[in-house]
Amino acid sequence: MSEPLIRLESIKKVFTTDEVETHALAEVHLDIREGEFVSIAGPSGCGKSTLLSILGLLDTPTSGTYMLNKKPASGLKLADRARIRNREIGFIFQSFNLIGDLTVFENVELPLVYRGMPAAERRNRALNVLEDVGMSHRARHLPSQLSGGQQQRVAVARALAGKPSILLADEPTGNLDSANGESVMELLKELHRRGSTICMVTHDTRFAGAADRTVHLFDGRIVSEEEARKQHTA
Amino acid sequence: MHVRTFLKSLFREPRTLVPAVALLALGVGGFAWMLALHRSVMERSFSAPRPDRLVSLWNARVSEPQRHGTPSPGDLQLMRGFPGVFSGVAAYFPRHAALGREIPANVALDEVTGDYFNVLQVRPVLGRAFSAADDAPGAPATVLLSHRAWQEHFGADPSVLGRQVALDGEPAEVIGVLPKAFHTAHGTDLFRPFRWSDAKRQNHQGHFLRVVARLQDGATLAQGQAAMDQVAARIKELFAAEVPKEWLDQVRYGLNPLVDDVLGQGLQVLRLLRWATFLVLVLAAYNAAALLLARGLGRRAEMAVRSALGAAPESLRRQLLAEGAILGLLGAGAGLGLAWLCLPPTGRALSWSFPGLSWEGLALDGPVVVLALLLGPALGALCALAGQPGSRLSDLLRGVRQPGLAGPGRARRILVSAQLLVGASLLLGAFSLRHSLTQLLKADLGLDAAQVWTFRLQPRMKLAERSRLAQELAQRLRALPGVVAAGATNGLPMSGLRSDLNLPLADGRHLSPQARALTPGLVRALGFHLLRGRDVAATDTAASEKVVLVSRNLALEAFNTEDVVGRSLPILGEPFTIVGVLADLREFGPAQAAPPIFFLPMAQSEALWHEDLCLALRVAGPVSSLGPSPAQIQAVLREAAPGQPLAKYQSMEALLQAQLGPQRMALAFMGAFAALALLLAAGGVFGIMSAAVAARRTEFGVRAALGATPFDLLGQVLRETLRLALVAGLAGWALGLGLERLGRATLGALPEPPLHLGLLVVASLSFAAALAALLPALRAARIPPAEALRES
Repeated sequence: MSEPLIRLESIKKVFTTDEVETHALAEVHLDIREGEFVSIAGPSGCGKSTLLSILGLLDTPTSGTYMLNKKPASGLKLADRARIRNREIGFIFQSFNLIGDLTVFENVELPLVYRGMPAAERRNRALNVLEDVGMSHRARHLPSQLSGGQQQRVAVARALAGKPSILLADEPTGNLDSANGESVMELLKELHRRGSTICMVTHDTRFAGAADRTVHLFDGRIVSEEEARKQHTA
Repeated sequence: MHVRTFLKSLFREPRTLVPAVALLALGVGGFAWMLALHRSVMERSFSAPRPDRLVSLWNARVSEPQRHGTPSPGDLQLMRGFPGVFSGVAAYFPRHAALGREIPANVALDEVTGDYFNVLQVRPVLGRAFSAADDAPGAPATVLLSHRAWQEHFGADPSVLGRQVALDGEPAEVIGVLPKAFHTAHGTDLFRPFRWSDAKRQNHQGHFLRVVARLQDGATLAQGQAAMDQVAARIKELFAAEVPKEWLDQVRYGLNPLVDDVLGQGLQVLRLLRWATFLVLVLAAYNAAALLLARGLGRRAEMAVRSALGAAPESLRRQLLAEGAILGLLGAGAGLGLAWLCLPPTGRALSWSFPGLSWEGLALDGPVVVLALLLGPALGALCALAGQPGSRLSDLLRGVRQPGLAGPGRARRILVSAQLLVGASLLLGAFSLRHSLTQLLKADLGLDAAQVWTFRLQPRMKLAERSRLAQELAQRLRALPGVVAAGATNGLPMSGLRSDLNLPLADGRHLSPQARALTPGLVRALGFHLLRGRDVAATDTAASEKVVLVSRNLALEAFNTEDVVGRSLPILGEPFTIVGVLADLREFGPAQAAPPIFFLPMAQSEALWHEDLCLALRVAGPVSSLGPSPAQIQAVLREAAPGQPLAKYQSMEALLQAQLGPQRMALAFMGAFAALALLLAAGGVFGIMSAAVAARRTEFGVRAALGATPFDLLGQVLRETLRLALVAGLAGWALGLGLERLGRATLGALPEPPLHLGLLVVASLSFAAALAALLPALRAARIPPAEALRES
């Protein structure tokens, strides 16, 4: 069996205010292999988003080990974490989070701008991914001129533009109606079929089932993992 | 409870609230300062009842409508022919006189018509005003004292009435003392009636009067102008036979509010300042609102909770209003302190432009303080309302274009640019004025003002005696140690004397050059540049051939060549031979173009107006050498001109500086406003960028998620700001050039500013903007992305 792309060992996350400690994650162990589609499910406040933030290097664990691509991702400086995010991770958000004053094309090329890629290469790459998600005809539009489903497709293109090792999707269908939700899920499944590694947080059991494996969180702990059509208790 | 909560938050969160208080302090302080200034200027300049009904009547040439001339006694009689428009028309002539006999004091004396105080509606506090009998020909001389002169020269003696005083050696009876509140802009000490003969009363030749009239209730300036047009028509009728038509076609009479005349260019500067203060107030309020918005955006959760707990929208709005009002009150308090600190230096700057008025004790008075204390809280409350999340301002700054995140936003760019643009324009205006002033001080005036000292006498004697006295004084002054040249004239350059003379030429054209008299030695003493021919000499007497010195521009205008020595110039019907050509002389100061001018030897200047006898002496030695002491000059006067007080003993350079008073005042105020505008622009950038960063937290979170490093985010905010500063700076450069042209139109012929000043403005503005944006940029760089994304 190959080395996992992501390995979390004994990850803890504690939020501390003046007098109160909140344990958001406790003893989380998780492996995600290359090409795998993992969904993380659980009730509100169970730590799903915190886990995704740690996976996306947007936040740091209080303790534990995080290996990304066989390299330790804990204890890095802010700028190094930003660089890894830029190259290894693609984000898809529930509320799309496209930047309103940038065109569809500019939104998609943004991660490549931060990478310092030459303009011509950026342009090719951005147009290609827009083609992949079927949005190349809207390259010059502003986000406000698109429907929700179209915006999420653009957000997927933006996540893909940097050819990341893993796509992290936080409730990608949460702000969409069922038809658009289905469409976006189809897109993610297609990407998975083409070899993308995806980790998705979702409430929606219909879409959680699309993943190879579903990890259930409760009170900051992984309480069960189930694989598609084959369930076992962890 | 709201107030207590807010005060606690003020100390807990000074990062936003202290700059907001400071901005409101600048706005309200500027308002209080301007109001105090305006009230003081109006009160101190002309303290007659209902000054808005007082107008100044003047004559002018159609081709030079801005250059107001002085009417003649004959003109005055014509102006009095409109009782339906003017309830009274009076005149005065300001001069200086010697008060006392043994050690005479130089005093400012206004000779006035008998109805002068009736027109002004000013009543003496002691004694009586002038009557028609006091102004009758041959009436015994009477005098009214200003309150200041009564205190300074008569020890505020209440029994001064009836006392005989010597004015220029002639006795005059004190008949009254004027109220303390009454003073003229030129600081008059004494008033005396003209007592003209009937012939003099009808005389149209001597143009020297300042005419003041009171408009009838209900009469308008337009009606006043129509009356003046009738005066012009009457003059044309009267002189149609004697004066060429093209000369008469130039005759114009007009009027304007007296305060415009009294305050002159300085009033225009004050009007510009009023607009600048208003602009500062608006900018300060807007920036404070932006800062409060930044704070409000950080309190959205708190407000949502309060709302969820049952707080009615009105209750939340009341809380915002109360917070804004307290903020405004604090701002008003600080602003009043600021205004109080600024008023004394303001008084000094005002004294450059209005030297005749006293600017001591310039202070905030009760109404100004009350108004400021009302304005502050009102403005603060308005800012708080405008700056609440969800307001129009909030939408503009966030650039709401849902769906999609808030971007840099065109509205925000426009708002920041507008402030920077104003800052750039004012900065360029100040830099240009400073440059212009420096250039003016270096400009070739046609004379050498360094090491020249001057003083003034007002001898009452015939021209032959006056000429002899002038030559004797010059000779005695030349004998003083260190003096290398001395001479006399009837009007020093830049002393304010205007004496236009109609000069008909052989080819039928008419010129109106300035006419002056001089004695031998003046050309050298003042350092006039003699381009051709010779100076006047002691041999140019009343009996010898009539000779004249002309300026280069007069030679060119009259003869189309500089080579005019030996040619003849007809002056009041008599031929004068040109013996020398002088370089163009900026007679009316460095900011005015050099007028064509000629000089007659004093002994031959019967045709000219003689009031003052001005002496000039040049000292040898280094530039810093002092002139003779006043005691040395007084000793010369005691021997050669006993009874004549020494007046206005000053260096020519001081006279030159005084000429630039309005420019210096404008520079001081413009400089202060430019600094203020830069501060406000920086405050505005800080406020708007703070609010923008707060409003764009999610966007920065997204950018960080996409791989932007903290340095990228810092750079982005700074880049956005610098781009705006650059564009605004360039636009401000263009606008500033326009303003600067306006300033030059107001303040005289100033030289063009060089190109590098514009670059300096753009660089200064960019630096200030970058500095102001640094803190918001650092905040953007430090936004925790996970937290920002959770908020979305």
